[in-house]
Amino acid sequence: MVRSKRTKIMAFLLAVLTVFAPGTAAMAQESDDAYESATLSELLQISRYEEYLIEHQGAKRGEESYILTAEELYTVFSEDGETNGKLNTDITNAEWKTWPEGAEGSDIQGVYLPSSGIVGWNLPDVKEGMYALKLKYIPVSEETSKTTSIERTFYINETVPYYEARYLTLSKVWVDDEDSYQKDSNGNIIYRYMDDKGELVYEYVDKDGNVLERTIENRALTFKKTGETVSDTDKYQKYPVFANDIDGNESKPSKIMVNELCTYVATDASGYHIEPLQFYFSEGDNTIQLEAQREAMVLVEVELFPYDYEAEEFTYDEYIKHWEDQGASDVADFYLKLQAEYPTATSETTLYPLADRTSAISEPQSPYIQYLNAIGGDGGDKWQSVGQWIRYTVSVEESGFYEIVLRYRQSVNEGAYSTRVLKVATQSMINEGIATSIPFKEASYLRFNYEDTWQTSVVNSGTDVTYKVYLEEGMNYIEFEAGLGDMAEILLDVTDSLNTINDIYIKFLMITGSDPDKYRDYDFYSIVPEEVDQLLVQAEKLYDLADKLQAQVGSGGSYTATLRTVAQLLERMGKNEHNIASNLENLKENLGTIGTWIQNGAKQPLELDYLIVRTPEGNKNLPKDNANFWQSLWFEICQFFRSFVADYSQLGATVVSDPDNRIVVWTTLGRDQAQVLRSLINSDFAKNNTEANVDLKLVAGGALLPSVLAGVGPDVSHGHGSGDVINWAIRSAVQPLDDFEGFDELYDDFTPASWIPVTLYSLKYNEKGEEVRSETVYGLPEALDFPMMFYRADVLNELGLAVPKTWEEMETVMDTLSENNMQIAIPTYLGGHDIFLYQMGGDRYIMDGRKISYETDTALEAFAYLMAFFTDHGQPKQYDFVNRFRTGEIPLGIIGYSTYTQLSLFATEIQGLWEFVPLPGWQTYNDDGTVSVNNTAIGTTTAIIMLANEERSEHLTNFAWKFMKWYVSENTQADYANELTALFGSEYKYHTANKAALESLSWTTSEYNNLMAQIDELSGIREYPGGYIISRYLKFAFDEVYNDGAEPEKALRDYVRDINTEITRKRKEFGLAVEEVSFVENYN
Amino acid sequence: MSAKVKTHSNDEVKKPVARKDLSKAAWTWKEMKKNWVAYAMLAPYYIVFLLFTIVPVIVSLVLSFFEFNMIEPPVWVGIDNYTRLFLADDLFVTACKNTLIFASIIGPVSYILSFCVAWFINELGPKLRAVVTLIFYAPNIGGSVYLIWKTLFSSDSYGYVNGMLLDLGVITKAISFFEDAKYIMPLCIVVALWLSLGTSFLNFIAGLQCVDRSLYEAGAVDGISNRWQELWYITLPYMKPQLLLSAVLAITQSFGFGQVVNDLCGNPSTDYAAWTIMHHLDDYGGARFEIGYASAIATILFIVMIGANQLVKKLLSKVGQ
Repeated sequence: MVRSKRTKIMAFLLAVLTVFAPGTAAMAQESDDAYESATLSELLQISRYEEYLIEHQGAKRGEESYILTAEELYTVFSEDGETNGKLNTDITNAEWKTWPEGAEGSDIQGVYLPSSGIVGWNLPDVKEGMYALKLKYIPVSEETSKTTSIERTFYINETVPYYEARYLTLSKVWVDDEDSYQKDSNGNIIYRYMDDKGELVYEYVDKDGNVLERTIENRALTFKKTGETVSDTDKYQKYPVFANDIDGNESKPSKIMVNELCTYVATDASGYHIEPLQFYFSEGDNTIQLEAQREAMVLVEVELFPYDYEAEEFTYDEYIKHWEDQGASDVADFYLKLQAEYPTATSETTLYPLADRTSAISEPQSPYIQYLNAIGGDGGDKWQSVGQWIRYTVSVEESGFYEIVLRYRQSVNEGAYSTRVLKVATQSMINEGIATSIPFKEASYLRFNYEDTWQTSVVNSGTDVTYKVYLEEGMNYIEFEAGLGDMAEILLDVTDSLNTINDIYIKFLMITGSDPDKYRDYDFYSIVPEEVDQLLVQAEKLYDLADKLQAQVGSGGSYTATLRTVAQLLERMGKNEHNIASNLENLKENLGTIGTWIQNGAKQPLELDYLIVRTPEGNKNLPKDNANFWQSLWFEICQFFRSFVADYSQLGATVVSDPDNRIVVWTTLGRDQAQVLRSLINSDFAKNNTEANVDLKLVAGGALLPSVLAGVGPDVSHGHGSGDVINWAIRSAVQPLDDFEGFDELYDDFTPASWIPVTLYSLKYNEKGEEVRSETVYGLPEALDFPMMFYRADVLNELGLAVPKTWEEMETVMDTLSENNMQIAIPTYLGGHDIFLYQMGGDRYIMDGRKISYETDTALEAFAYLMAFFTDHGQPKQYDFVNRFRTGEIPLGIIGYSTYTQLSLFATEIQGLWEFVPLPGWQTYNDDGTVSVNNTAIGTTTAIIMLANEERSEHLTNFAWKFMKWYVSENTQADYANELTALFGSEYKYHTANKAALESLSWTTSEYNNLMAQIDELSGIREYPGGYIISRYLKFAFDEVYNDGAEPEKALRDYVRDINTEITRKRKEFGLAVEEVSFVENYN
Repeated sequence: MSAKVKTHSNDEVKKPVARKDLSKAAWTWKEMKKNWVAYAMLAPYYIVFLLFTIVPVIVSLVLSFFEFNMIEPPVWVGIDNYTRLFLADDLFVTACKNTLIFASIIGPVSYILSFCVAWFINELGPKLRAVVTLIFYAPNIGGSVYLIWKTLFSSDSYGYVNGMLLDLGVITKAISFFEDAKYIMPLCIVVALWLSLGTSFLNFIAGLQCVDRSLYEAGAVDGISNRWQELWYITLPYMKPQLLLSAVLAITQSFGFGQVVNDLCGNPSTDYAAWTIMHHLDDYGGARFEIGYASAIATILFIVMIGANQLVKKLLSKVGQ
């Protein structure tokens, strides 16, 4: 019996599950061996910040600040940026930079530090004490702009002081790319004029105040003057119009990074600690080091300074008093409305404008046109993770107190609230280069309660007090940053509780063993009385926390119910010890539930429509939050009728294409992806290739075949598996590509393995009976997936196992895991067999596809080896990998690397505890005593194809080829991948087949190295006619062995004749050379 | 001729008698012209029926004599497809065998089962009847709700059945129910039966509701002494149209059985354990692009179904005798 059971290890894992990992995964460091789990395991032993504080409880606050200026920072490098080897500094390409680059009289200077490597400095004569850390930096990028934040690990005297210091996350600054605003024919941005109340007054106005009208002329969008001009332009709020498509719908602007001087005070990236982190320095000489985890930056200054949050920051009352003492008072008669979709800057590319269609009074709104009218949102990675901020600029003419009213929606966290931190920088702070900061303590706790519709309110922290802020004459920055607020405390308490319960659970497990007998009396109370009592204490604690949360939020909901359910279970177990054994399984599951609960609790979604800065009035005269019944009704009716005439397949095209001079491209991707592709076409391809138009259409999967048959198919279609490509190619439905201009240059951008499946290998006899071979490429690879080995570093480390690099090592690992009732995931059926077959040096076919190789010794050995995993070692044949990997039941498995995305998004609680490495290899013992290891994995290609069409002109065919070439090119694929990342969050990794583009994705260095290591060892499988039959018979053979214990070699051999017959029959159909199958060959 | 026709057309009572002076076709045409309104009203249905049912059937019949890969033009091959089907295709024999097993078990059993359930439900009070009807019809309302069986019998050790058996200690290793030739056929039959209480069952209920109550009274006067006699001599003969319709449905359903197997066991099922003619057809038509051959299979299936239909009609004519 091989069912996974609970063991001590599992219990340990659960303890680990509770580790709430901050935003990003820490991966193995640079060492010759790209996949060592040493640092991962170190990480598990580092203490947390709470423990660190307790440890240094007696330490007093430091007295003075220590500043390392740019010059001092650069001293560790020699002239050419090479390291001088001090303090493990291993960066070889640091650079002295002045900012802005090349500008005269520039005064910001700093040291460029690349996205990997470690750098250290001496800090002589430090006074003992606690210090906060401040970094001044300029975000930069290497080559292409990656969307992830900068991440550094901070070391004091060559050790990471605590877990939180490992993930110092420094945000970048992103602004809308002005190129993605709508321009008039002169290339000037078009503006939209709205009055102070948010009413749309003029929809399109050029920079000189001429009112424009949107028309379609020469099949393209144009803006023509109506003759009217706006006289008093100052009366209105001007907003640039987002790029329009031919239907008038706005499309989301792209973001560009600004190289602006930023200040970062080290804080807990996961948001559990509101105050800046404190670091303890001992008396005398100290060293500090920064190790790059992600992204490059220019470091301008490092400062250690004593900082006392309690003493230095105002409470709200002190804040008001402070400014009143300086003569400030409420300003009179001020009202300014800012549309939230036009922020001054954001911290992430995912914080882009959205179209809210739910409310008739969102601004601007129309039932016919899709305006981008809100920001933030509730899907993907949009403004819900701690640390993501949005900045607005408010210009006022008078210094004094103002209040901020927001129209917002928080319809995700039912029964809870989202928190924002309000940060302000007034004109004088901006002048002095001081970063935005909280004006008073309460500003860290702005609360946005759950409601499924829009709400308006003055910023507050859940009490009746509405906050005023002091703004200065001139320009002021107002920043809203996602934070945990009061939730931090509750989350920490729950986590604490969870840890205690975990310990109790382990104690119980030690008594009952991994499979408790429900009917046995274990007599818990006499063995572990404290733990049994503790159950009730924890139950009480959870009840209290639930009550506290409910009191804070003001309503119950499913959110607090989770805590109560667990509390009930604990109570039941604690009150009657006979319930303990029978509920242990239940308890394990509930511990997982709390883990997920903690994760969800850390999410802080919020959507903004506009903000109003006005004379303080408290919660009086608030604007309307939602449309009234009739407004909504009319809006819905208009939308409904609009839906009959709107052409949804246009996807944001900016040109009405000429039916005689266009290519039609079909995509079966999701709507979001298609829109990204459309905007890339608009902004790049269409600009540079004007000889024809591209029509991108979103179609349902499976639509291609019928439409090709009916002669209404597209010119280009993408997202096709290699089987389809070759199947259609062999029937002359697809255009061969290798004769097109520029094909050869394209070839090297992809790994050879990705070309193999989209190439048709044909072997025919000519009239003379000679063999004629040909190889024709029919598709361009767009996506490439291949298996990698995923493993849980924490589990392997706990068991003292090294990551297996060969299958022999794998067997050892597997045995140890089995002893601990854990399993491994090995691919089944054809996928599993191919790995071993190709690693052993075999091939799926012999004789150029005329026969299957399954009679050869290699194929049979590979099959027997594969089957042994399932029969002899009892590994599971079917499993939900992500789930079991998450719980640790399957701590090691081989699966397509695209699972990475799923794991990072779905199993966030184990982030940083796993990684992927190349497959274990098949080891061959050579005669000279050396061992060679073959790590081959099989790649599967998805391709873009051009459909054959005799009626298409050569001009269009060449244009279609240009499009395909552009689509798979490095830049396009990189842009596409990065746009998707911006859309779905930094965990989303599009598995592009373009090697260079793959690099520009936000992999950590070690992840990328591992990927490349596997890509270098990749094989593709040729597609031959009749190939579909192989998976079928291999599955039969597999099942026969698995179910009935048949002898593997015999089981496989039995099907060889059937496979060969089919292959031969199919080859004959296409006039290819065949090898006749003898009816007796299998039986001799 | 015109005179006679005139009298005829003026005649109030139409007599569909054979006419000596007109050929049958000419007469039909005449009548059609006269009743054109009726034909116009029928036209929408007949045009659609013709285009989407009759024409494809004929095209398929014709294509069965060609080799055709859907993309390139068809090539005439005579009866090659049929020769290959009957003489050289081992798998077709398996498919025929399985189809016959499915058809002979699922067809009659589900038919009888449907009737029994309908008969039973018919005895209930109206409110309760509505609820029970819904329960029995539910598997058909929710599209692929039969996939619940896949969850129940999942080969994962966390599948319900596997989990239970493992807990009870009956088995020590998860059974791949839907991938093991031993279990596939019985499981598929069970699922098919569970699913089959569909339209025919509703049909029966409708039929049972229509029976004229007074006939039972008359029957009682005429000497019917028990419910069986009542059923056999009154109820069943009275609902013959429903019986026939349900039978036709049952036959098409049991011969066309295939999709369920695909969804449960994958395509193909291990060792072709549940490979039916329908699968064979899909395989050649879909995966291998051999439409000619697939058409030949379809033709055979068509003929078999018609045969089965005739047989059932014969059997049904014995009802009540």
